[in-house]
Amino acid sequence: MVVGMYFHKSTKNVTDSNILIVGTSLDYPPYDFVDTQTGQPAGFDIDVLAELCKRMQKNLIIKNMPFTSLIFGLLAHDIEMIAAGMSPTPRRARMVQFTDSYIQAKPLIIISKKSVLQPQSIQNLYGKKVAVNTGYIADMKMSEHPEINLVRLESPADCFMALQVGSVDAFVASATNVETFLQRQVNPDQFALYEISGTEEICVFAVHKDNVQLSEQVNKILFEMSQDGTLKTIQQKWNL
Amino acid sequence: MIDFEIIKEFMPLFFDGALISIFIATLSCGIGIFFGGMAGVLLASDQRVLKWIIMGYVTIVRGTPMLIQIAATYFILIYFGVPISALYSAIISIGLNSAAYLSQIVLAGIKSVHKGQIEAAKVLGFSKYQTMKLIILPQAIRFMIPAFGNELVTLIKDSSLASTIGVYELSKQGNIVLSQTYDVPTVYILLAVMYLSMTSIVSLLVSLMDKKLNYHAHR
Repeated sequence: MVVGMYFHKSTKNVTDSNILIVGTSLDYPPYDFVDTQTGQPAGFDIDVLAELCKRMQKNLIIKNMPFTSLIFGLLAHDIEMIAAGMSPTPRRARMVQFTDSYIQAKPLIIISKKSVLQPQSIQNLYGKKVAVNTGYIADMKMSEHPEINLVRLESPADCFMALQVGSVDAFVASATNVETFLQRQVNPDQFALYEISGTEEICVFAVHKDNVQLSEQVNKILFEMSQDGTLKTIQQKWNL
Repeated sequence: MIDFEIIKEFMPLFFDGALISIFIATLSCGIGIFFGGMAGVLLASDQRVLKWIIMGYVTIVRGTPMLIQIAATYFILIYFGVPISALYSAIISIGLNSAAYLSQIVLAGIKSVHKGQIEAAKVLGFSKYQTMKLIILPQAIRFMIPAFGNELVTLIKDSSLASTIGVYELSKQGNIVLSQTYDVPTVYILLAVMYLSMTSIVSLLVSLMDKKLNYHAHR
């Protein structure tokens, strides 16, 4: 099985049944990121994909692209599936077909420096500068509160940088993102965390609406993987 | 391929973004012309120490990507407690970047004035300051106007880099619309058309101004 990074090569009308071309955005640890030691894609999604492709007897090809371009890539048949820690939303559902969920993601978390802000509710963020990642679930949820002064940045790393130097008062992201960041901090106690209840999301893969065959196949294997505990094992490997 | 409904729905966002882009480009071009002009005149003078400092600055600015300059300026300023917004921080870094390039244009403009004129001025008893102000600069500026215009066009495009620190200029608004609609062709084609219109208008204005200023000049 070959896991290859695959840049900018057009694969219009993918018909080769031996390969599965999956689009992801490698800036979302621990789901999807580039392992700096090997230079290869790594993360929870990547491991699930590898196992999925093994069971489908296909070679996995991973294409890295910005999160906001993934759905277009799917519609343009540049990729066959999206695996990017994506949660189902009605707007996305109008354009693509979701598979069953492969993980129950943790809720959104507000992270801020204790010295700046200690949030107890979303209302505490009103009038504050709050970083989110453009187009992520946190962006959609926080956009429902026009009182918040949203600063939309590209990757979680940009947001953590902004939080650390203090150009934003808080950052809203998935709990998993925040945990990964805190693990790398020398002094994690300086941050205040607040879990926004009711924001638990599931993560799903997305395939083209016409590609019912693929989604059925993926759902079948995901079911097997959850039954035999493979999903659980991979989940534990990444502390999810 | 192009979804006009999306364009209609989000046009106010795109216009806001375009205004911010023009604001960034104009102000930073102003900063660039002011500091670049001073630096260029100093480079043409015989102030050895100042020339060294300016050349060092120009080397650093020209040798590092503007993307990094914008992020670094903002984060360093914020880190040291300077209460500056992302927008003005971006304007300062883009302006100072442009100053480095413009100083070379100004220097070249000054050097384009024939040496004989400077010698003549000296013979006629003009001071160095008078020679620069009354003889060299009026001629050099004519030579520089098209270059300043090019710089403004470049800055309109470069203003998109401010999006990395969260400034809601045109390309950032495009990115936000993209994240809500996932319609890549519509958004990118619209962005390209809007940038092209802005840069074309600027180029046109500059060439008109250039014609007017050079009306009596014979080169």
